[in-house]
Amino acid sequence: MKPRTWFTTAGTLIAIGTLIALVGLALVGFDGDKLSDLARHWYSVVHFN
Amino acid sequence: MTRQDFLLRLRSGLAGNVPAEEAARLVDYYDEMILDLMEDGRSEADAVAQVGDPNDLVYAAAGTRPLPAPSPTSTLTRRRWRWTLLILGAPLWGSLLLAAACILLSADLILWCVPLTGAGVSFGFLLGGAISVIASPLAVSGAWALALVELGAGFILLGLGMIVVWLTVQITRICWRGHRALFQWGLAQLGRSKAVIA
Repeated sequence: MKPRTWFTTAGTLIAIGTLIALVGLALVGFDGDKLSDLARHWYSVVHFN
Repeated sequence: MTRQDFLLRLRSGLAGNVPAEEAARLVDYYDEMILDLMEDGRSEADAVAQVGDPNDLVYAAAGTRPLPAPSPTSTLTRRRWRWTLLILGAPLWGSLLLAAACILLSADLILWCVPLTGAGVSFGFLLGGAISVIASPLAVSGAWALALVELGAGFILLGLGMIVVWLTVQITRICWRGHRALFQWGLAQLGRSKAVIA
């Protein structure tokens, strides 16, 4: 793969990831604590924690 | 200086410095030259002065003479001495050689630390990204926001991982060139030392 293609793919992944993560954060009102509580609760449900 | 004095000094100077036949030939040659100059009307002292200083002529003759080849006995003795000194000096040069080899190895290890770190970081990014992306659907039923953040973070990690992989490959190429140059230099030094000993 050419460096240009490689970097375009990487950049696209980062851009899409940032957008999706921002949407997710927006759903919790950019409240990190709330997201953290959510994660703790969810992973305790699925026994990750 | 008279002609006889000149020839005497020339003969004694040449003796032992050039082969006997060559010395006789040179003495005859300069004698004839002096006689020719005297025949041309020069005084004896003038003719001798014209030919030059006998010491300079001796140096010139000795300098142009090829050096005698070393006898096999002296070469053998010299080689034995070298090996004796080499063995006796082993604690000194051996430890220095070991230290130099360790320094070379350390430099090489330091060199490889950079691509190794890059490989570790890229592996971490890619593995973390993949797990994050694969695991994110599990959270969908529980918390949409969490699933989206996880999915987004997974994509970001995969993208960063790709960039670090590219950088690591480039750095590895540079390190490989550095590694080869380092060891070629080391081997060249070793070869030079061998040549000095031989």
